[in-house]
Amino acid sequence: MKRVKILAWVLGIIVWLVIGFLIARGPQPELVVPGEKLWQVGPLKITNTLFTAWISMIIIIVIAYFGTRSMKLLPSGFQNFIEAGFSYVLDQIVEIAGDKNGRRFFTLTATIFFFICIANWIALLPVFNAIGVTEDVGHEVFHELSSPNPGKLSLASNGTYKEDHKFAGTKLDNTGGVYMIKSGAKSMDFTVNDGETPAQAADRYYVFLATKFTDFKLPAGDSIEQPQDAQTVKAAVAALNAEPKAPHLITANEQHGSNEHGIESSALGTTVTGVDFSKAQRFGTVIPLFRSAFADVSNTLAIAIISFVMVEFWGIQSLGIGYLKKFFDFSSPINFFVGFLELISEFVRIISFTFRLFGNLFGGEVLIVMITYIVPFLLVDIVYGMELFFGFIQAAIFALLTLVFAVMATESHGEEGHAEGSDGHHTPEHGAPGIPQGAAQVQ
Amino acid sequence: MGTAADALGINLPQLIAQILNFVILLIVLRVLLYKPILRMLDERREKIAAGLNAADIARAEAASAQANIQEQLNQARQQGQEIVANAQGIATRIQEEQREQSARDREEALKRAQAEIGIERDRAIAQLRGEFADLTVGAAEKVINQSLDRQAHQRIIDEALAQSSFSEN
Repeated sequence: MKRVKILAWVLGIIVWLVIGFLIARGPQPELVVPGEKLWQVGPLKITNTLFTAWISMIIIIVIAYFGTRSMKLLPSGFQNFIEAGFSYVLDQIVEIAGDKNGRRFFTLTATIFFFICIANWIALLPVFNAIGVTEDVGHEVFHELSSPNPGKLSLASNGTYKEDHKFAGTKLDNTGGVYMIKSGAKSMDFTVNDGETPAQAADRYYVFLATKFTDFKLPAGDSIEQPQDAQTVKAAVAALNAEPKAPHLITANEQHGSNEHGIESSALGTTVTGVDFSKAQRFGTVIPLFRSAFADVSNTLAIAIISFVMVEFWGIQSLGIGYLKKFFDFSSPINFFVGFLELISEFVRIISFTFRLFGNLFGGEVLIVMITYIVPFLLVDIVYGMELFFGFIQAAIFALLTLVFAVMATESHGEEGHAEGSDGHHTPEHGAPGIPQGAAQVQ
Repeated sequence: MGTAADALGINLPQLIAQILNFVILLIVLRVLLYKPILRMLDERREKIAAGLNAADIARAEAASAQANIQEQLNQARQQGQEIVANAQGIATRIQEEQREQSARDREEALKRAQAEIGIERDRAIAQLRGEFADLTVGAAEKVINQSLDRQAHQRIIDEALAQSSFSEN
């Protein structure tokens, strides 16, 4: 009887997984490491990761506001919840740093913890990586190729591109506004190659469009990655023009647009000033509106730098100039070398902080997207549960490491402490805020 | 280096924006969350400490009051016992006196009764004797037909009676 039950369960799960695999698969993920730009304000690109960071901040501040709006000595309801979370963090910090230092380091450590933890957790909401603003890649490719100062491509002074750049997208019905990332959309990508001139890349782009939107086939043995000969390009453009539901090229002869953004094509013998997608399905991409805030190196680096700066600041505040002796010790070559290593390790912390958090969260995000793509039911739930845990753990690690480094920085070196103590300058209460020890020593 | 940073998405404006974000969040949370809650926690801790202290004091006071009461109680009990003992002594004495008194009374009453009985008996005997003498005289008169005068008769009877053991029982 029990066996039958287990068998039924296993069967049910398999059927469920298969159903998910057949009908509910996510879109084929397009993995992009940097946060994608949503809007541009002056020099600041508002990426989806920055946008999410702002949302996390707003959520935290709203929670803080409502949690402490009417504080009572006997807590109840929401205040109880807030205080419980707060006390948990406070206890952890005080346990590590002691009562006095715990209070001193609390603001930074707790903020790091709450910020990262909340940002990680809201990144598990279903809207993340699912809805986004669309970007018209079809037009963008042509714009980049025709521009003398492209934003995404890097044009060398000799007129060729310095590195590969991939434009990826899917066929979309609409390239305006917010769009759901479509399940099973056929993705396509076009790569601008290293060492290509804009004209060569543009010719290849026309052929690429022809293969995607018409029945046009490349000659046997040819690849879209290779430079195309004039005949192929002409045939491809003819095929595009023949197909009413394909993008059409706008040439200078048609007096559409200005000549300055045109690309002169030797194969076609004319200057192309644009690609008209008005009758075709567009070639575009959906940029997720929300992406995990700390799956972006810029954001993790920012927190790491703050952590580093504050640790060094506390070190100097507590031990004065003596703190720097740890790094610049001229008493012997070995000590000098050790100090040098200490100095390097101090800076390496920034990198380890940055990439630990980034790696974990980016990895988690990729894992969720990939599992959603491959096996959308059941398995992804397990991954979500794990991510909930990892989000918390990573926040705790970042905060506690900052705390530990701060404690280490404010504790004087054993031997130096003794030497200073015999001089009578050193007080055991190192680290009275606002009274730099160094000032006393200089006197 | 620049391309690596680009590939990873590091860019200065966003970095600065994010640092500012963090600083803003830190300040806002400090004002909005940390200070009020820390103040509240401290206040609560003080209140609880004060409460515990007060409870300790109250407990000590209660203990001393308890001891006081116990002592008073003991004293009272002792006094009570003394009083009871005294009372019992007095009661015993009174009882004793009462008993003696009653015994004496009883004895007196007995004596008086005996005396009365004695007198009553003597009188009865005397009366009886008189009547008996008369009876005897009468009887003797009838027997000897008035041969004797009254005085002689009386004498004889008295003698006879005196000789008889009637008076001494």
